[in-house]
Amino acid sequence: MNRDWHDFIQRYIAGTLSDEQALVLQNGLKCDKDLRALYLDYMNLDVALGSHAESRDAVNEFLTSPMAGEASCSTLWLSWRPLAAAAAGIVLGILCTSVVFAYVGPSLGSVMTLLDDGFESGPAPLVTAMPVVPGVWSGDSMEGVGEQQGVKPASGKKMLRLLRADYEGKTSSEPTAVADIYRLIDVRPWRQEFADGSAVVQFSAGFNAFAFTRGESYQCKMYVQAFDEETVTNGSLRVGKTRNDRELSIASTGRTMLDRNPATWQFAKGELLLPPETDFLMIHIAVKRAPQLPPTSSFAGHYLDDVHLTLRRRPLF
Amino acid sequence: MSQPSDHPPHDQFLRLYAEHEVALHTFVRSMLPTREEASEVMQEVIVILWQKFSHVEDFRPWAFGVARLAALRHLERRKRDRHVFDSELVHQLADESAAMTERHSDQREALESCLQKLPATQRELVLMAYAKGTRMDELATRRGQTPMALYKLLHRIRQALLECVRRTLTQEEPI
Repeated sequence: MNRDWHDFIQRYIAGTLSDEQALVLQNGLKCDKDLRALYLDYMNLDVALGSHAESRDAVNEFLTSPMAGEASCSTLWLSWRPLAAAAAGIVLGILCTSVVFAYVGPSLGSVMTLLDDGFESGPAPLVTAMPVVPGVWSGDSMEGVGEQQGVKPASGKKMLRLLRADYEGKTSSEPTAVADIYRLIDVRPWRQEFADGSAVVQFSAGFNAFAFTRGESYQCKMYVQAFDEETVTNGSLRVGKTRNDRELSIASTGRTMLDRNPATWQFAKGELLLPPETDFLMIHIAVKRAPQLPPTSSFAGHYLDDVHLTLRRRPLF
Repeated sequence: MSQPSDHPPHDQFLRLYAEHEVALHTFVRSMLPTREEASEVMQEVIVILWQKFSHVEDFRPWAFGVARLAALRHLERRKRDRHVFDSELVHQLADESAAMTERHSDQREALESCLQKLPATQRELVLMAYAKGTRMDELATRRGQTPMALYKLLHRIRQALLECVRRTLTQEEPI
């Protein structure tokens, strides 16, 4: 495609097109489907960068709050600016007064850390597929490691390394291309905080790899499922490695591709609206090798760090 | 005073709106010249969606229809501006944008990794440029640049990001 179109579209975004350039762009868009696709992709990027900037501002505000330094695996309530504050503020205004007003400032919310794991300490992960007790990582073969293969932990001194896409007691000998790890979280102690259906679980994880060869590709994804107590305690979760369809709700991050640069971590994040009847959350993290490679269950240098789950309430109206 | 039963279930509305909010925003953005106008129209859209929610069966097509009309009303008020496309093109862009929601969702997911691939200084600059309240002339002055030089640098960064997310999507296989 003519490189000038990138410049024209970006000048349009910036509002600096001349009359003549605007007419050229308009005529081009009318005739050229690929140009329209490029234009729409730029518009999507424009909106997405605005969202990223907003998210970063919210995180920076959280991190610079007086209590941020005390965050750990323990319970902690904080206040910060929610990311969709404008929408919530407008709806609140409509319900309370019947007068429409635009949201202009932060609305109230509180945040509780459910999990903040940089793999610095804690029990060694199990290699027994899906866990049935909370508080421990389990799944395919993995271990806690320090810096190696040019990869430094995203934070602290340790990270989790995925070793193989199989587990103790696996019955099939077929090599698989997906390494799965799980962790169960008991949320019953905080039931009263989300019993009204107003809470969301925000989750994220960091991924990295050694400098694997060109032609290989790896995708990472994180899921969070909500279960009730009966499903967790009656043995029905142990359905091999597959996800369980008795969940109350499920959400996932997008697919995150690993780059070949050991110096950069890729982070995936997602959000789950928490059903009020939830008793447990199951974290499921999957790393998949591209299927065109020869089948093998080994992972030569793939890492996980900084797994976060927070519970946040949105105000009811 | 209205009773709770007079209002549609707000939690159901919030779930549906949250599910479609980003796609709606991109759709509106595709029809309007600036981010600020798109945000302004989105505020109008959510008001209408909330007010009329109780009578709706299929949220997505209805919400996109409301958003289209709100954007068109806004454009009507601005039609003398050279950055406003003619009506036929606006409708064409809106139709194609609505058909690209999944592709655009995938691109947004790929954006995080593409941002991490940028040199840290470029990543900081582009996020600063998009931060709320940033004025480009002030940002240029702080950086010791002319506004034109800053715009050109941002153009290069955005183009690199777009090429990265497009490239990422062509490589992906679903998990």
